[in-house]
Amino acid sequence: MKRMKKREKILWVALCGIWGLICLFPIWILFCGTFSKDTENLVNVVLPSSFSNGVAKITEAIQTVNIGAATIDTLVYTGFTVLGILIISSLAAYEFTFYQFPGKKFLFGLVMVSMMLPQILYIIPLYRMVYNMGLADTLLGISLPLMVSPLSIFILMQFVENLPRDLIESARIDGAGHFTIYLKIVLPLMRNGLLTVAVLMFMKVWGQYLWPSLITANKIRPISVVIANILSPHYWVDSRVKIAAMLIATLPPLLIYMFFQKYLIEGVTASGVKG
Amino acid sequence: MKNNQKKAGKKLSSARKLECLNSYIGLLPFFALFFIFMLYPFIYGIVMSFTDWSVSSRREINFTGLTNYQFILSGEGVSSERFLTSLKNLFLYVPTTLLIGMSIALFLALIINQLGKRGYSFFRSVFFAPYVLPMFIGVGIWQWFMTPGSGRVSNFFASIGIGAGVDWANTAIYAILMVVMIDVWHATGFNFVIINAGTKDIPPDLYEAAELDGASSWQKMRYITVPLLEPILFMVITYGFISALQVYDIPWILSGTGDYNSIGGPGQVMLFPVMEMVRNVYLGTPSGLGRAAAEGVVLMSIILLITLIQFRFRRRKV
Repeated sequence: MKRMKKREKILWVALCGIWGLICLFPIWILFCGTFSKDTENLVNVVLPSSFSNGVAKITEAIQTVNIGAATIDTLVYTGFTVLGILIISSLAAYEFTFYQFPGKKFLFGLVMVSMMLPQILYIIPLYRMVYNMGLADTLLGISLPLMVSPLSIFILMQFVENLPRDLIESARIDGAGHFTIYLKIVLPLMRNGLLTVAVLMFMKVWGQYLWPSLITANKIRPISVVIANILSPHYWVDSRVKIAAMLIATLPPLLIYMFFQKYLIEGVTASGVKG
Repeated sequence: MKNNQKKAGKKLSSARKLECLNSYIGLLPFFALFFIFMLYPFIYGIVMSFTDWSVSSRREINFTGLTNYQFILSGEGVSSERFLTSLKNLFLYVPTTLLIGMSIALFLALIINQLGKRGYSFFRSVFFAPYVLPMFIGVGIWQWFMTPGSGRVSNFFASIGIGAGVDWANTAIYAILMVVMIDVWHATGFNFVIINAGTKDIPPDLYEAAELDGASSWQKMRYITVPLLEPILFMVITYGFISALQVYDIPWILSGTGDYNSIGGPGQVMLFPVMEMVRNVYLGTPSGLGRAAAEGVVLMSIILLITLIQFRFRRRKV
């Protein structure tokens, strides 16, 4: 019986290993492809072989296909959007968690409904509207629509749900105002939730393709649009430069994931299990 | 005395009023953006699907009734044929990707619990990693791996007898399978984490009791795990349906962004409804936006219908 259990366990580890390989191998190959000698056949690369050539390809990607500028543009609008989401959603989560007011049920229902509303259903009218407002190809135009994030409100509510109400009450008795309580008491206690939302939303906005491709033209270059362009068969560029460009676009989300994975996985779990 | 009480009550209610007002102010930023950038365009889109709304803003807009719907569903003319093909592809794609993706996610979510603590947290991080990468990176990598003749993965498939000599991205059925492959690679980590979190909520004494009764691993899974996971699985599948119906990034990038007629690949083997909507915008034909809006409404009706059927089905089962 015991031996059978052991054998079973080896099978499970092996199967997890296979899927793990499927998950990681493509990411690993991005590194190896970039840091390989030009003489090596890209099809067979499995290990990095030339550091200097990798640096050269990354430099070339930054200069010739504009990946450097795209990275900065994308970091700016992603950062701005995430900041907006954090402020807007934490305020809403604060009101919904701690206060009673007429119409609360209805408003919360709207938040729930908006979570189910797929973006593609309204993306074309939205695009026309933002365009007519003169906000096409601007930071506000790209970011404001992305700041509506009911999911973030939901996640933040999970994090303050169990906070004792007395905390709020005693602060009010001490004379703290409505928004002072939010700033001084609730926001600090929401810290982990805010971090979770920030990480989750960074990934989401960084990876957006359809909306940025519709709303930007020459001024803002979203990294998704630049990468999609160089992936098109009509665009000729050295394969290693292509791979280096993809590596650069991968690094910000990948690094954030490596440092904050606990928060990210927690966030997904919280949004899923309870939602 | 009575008068005093009344006064106190009145005072309280004005404090309450202020408190409520503060709450509304706190909610204002979210709801302002929600109404402007979500609800309004959503309703506007439905209304405009009954007009000859076009890309050129100088043209006046006329109410045309069901003309757009008749046009896109008639099967006459290129745009309409393309839209119907995209729906056909969608009906092939959605069940395939859900069946494969959810099976893998459920399987991984169950077997990872058999591992030790370190193995568990290691593999959980690894499985989630592809979801963290932007979709367009996944597309780029897999496009490279599936290059006809020289891609690592397409060569591997050819060596085990699948699709030897086939240009996956440009061949009917294979093109859809390629989209499925990339989507499953990308999304499985997400579904896996949620399903696995669900397995943690199952009380361990249930398993202990079953073990005392001599239940096998298979029986434990069949009679304890899967039934108790049903609500989570239901939610993950519903969510998966809604996002699979909106498939866009993968096929759009794979089939090239060069010219509008190549969108969806030769013979539209990789064409999906959202791509056709966006094509209508870029094409700039008269009443193009109206048609795109009508296509959006058709897609929304499909999403709504499937979600309702799922909820119906579930209520009967539970």
